[in-house]
Amino acid sequence: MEKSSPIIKVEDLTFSYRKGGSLVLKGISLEINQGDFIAILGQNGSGKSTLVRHFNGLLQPTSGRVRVKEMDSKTTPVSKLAASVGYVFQNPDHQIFCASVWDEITFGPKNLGYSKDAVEANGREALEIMELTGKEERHPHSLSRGERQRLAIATVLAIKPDVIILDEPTGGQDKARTEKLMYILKNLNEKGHTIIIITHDIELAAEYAKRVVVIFDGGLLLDGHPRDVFLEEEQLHQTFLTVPDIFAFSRAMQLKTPALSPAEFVAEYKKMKLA
Amino acid sequence: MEAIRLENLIFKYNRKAEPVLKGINITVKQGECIAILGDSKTTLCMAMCGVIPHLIPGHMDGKVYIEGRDSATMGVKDIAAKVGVVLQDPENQSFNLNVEADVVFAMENIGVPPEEMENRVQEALEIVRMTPFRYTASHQLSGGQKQRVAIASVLAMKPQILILDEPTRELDPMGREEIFEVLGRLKKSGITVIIVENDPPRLAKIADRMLLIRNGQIKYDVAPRQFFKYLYGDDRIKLPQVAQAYLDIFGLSEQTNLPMSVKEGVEMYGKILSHY
Amino acid sequence: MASYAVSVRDGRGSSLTEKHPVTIAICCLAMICAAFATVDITAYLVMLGMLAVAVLVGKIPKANIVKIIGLVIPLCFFITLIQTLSQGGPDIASYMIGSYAIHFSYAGVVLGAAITLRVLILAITMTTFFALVSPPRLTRALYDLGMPFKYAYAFTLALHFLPLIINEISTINNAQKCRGYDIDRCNFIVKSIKIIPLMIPLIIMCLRRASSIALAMDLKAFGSITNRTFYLELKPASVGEKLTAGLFVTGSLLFIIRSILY
Repeated sequence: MEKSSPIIKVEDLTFSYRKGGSLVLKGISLEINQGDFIAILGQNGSGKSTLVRHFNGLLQPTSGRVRVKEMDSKTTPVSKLAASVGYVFQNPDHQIFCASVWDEITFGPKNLGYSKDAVEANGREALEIMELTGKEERHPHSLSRGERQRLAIATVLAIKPDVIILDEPTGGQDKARTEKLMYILKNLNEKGHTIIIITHDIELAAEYAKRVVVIFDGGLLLDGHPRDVFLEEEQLHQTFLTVPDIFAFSRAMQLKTPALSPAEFVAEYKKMKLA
Repeated sequence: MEAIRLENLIFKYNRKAEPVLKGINITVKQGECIAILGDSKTTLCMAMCGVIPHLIPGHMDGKVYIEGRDSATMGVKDIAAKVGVVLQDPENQSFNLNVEADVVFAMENIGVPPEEMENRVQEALEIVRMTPFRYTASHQLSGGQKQRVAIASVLAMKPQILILDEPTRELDPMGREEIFEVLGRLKKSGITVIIVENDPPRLAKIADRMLLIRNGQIKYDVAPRQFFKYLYGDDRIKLPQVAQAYLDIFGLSEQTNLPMSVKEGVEMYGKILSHY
Repeated sequence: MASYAVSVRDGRGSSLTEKHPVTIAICCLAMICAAFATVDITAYLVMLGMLAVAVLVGKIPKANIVKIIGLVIPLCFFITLIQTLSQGGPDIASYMIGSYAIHFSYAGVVLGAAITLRVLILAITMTTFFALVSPPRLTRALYDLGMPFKYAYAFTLALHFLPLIINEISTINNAQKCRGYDIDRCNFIVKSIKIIPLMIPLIIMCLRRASSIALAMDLKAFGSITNRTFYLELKPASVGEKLTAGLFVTGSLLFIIRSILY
């Protein structure tokens, strides 16, 4: 795959829900490359969900352009873009409607016309990755909330899209589950998938994302490596986002490289002691 | 004065094989703020506000005392007036057209005389800082604002105890801050606050005690600093980052004075670290 | 309708919104009964004129009226077409298709127009009613008339949650599009079949929501006592209002009798 051309290209995107209504997105330009691991941050109402819905054609630009792998989102239907951009909704119950876990997982690939073998293989793989093997015949609504969330992700994984978007995937989960999920996403990213997470958990974004995008008032405020973004204190203050405690603490302790997680801090500190 | 006391509470849902609460003993004093983490938190909340056993079928043993009275002998109306409950989803707690209508709703249900209502509405809205929004339509509010209205609507009943079951789960960081700010104010006003959340660092800032439920029983019931010391190494509860880093570097001992915020970290580390 | 609360409290309420709901209901009912008693186009135009006055005095947002007209017109066009083709009497036009003759009768056009106007009056009257009577006032009026509160309140609840449920349909639709299941790109017949599986998540979510709302209401002691108190008090109908209602009823009755006799 050509590494130089971005997989999603957003050009001067503006958007309002109604003709002549107020602009929710006010001219955003952005490039997402294959292999990115991006966390999108911003308060509710900032436009971050609206922006992400343009990545798979759920919404179309009022002006400007969004291209996914050279397909224009205005002229390509969502169902076609779905093969390249998977979207896991925040509430799994919005996506689940089949009578068995297996039907649910194979629903996407079947709709998109994958071969019988591909459907079978992808389905098995998705089950395994999300640790749902053995539950194929269960009715989705007999699963616990956490299992349904994993199922929703599995249904998108079975499509094997280049880009996987997850909307608040770790809401309400404890540390163990969150770490497990992020580990899975990290693996997928290493295999070549582009991961985009919308999240409110800034500690999570700091620890796992390779790139952070901050949306404020319909515009792109900050875009870069977490460390660089978190150094922009004044701009972050505008959006009522606060940097992770460990980052602020690292700076207060005047560490050479501010830490993005407790583990990083410990490593930096030990290096410091040895020096 | 006791606000709530649970004596050996055991509860089993009808459709489950095992009880989810297996002998819970808690005493919450008037004016305390306690945080509950772990498993079956919602079940425990529901038992503290009388929904269990009155509205949810199941097998209950042991007793729940609300301001000294056995909850099983009280009616839902009596309990509602003493214990205000705020749930997780802001959308499903507002049923009326505007903020004012939502705030008066509970008062009307318990039969508060109309002459008294105006004062209570004003007070409740003031505590949650939603007075300018009194006539705003519910659907125009943000998540944080909606939850604040939900809090105001139960405060209007003038309960002595407030239980919040994951109130910030659906909110963004700003909304979360708003709610914790309100809780801080409520604590100062003397109301007993019981909060269930999955945000240990923020809870640590306002809770007097933090409780962990594991395997249906209370494993820990201690002040926040000690709580995190006990939970160091736990795979399910996340420590505040500064505390985590501190313990990873210096290890855990009886005497450890655990820093939980950036400010405390700077103070305590500053004394130990040699500069480089 | 959900925007009503905002318009009143922003000072854009009118004198009519303060009138007792029962008065307004009686006037509207009288209008509707009169509309059903006749097919006289002149009478209809008079009624529409009265409604226009009510809309102006009541400061009813024109968008509501335009929306309802927009919904009604296609239906009426269809009805008029059927009437034109099926009514007997002198033609205004006739065409031959093959060996079959199609007649467009004059009487049919007139009848179609009359029915159109009747439906319009019905729609606008109902819109006016709901625009002038806010849900809390309606609930209170029904309760005063003797309806148990929980039924009277059901309307407010429905009004509040219907928009949310509609949003949910949209979200579910989007979620399935992301898996290649796009019903918007099918024709009408296929769409009606393909929409059925989407009902499952919708129903489940509605049930979950209902359960959540019920719990929240119980926690606010809803239905726990029989003598609920009220923050909102309805001012009893003034003499003027009672007179107006009486006038409407009398006028409507006279009109109906006249229409039957002639």
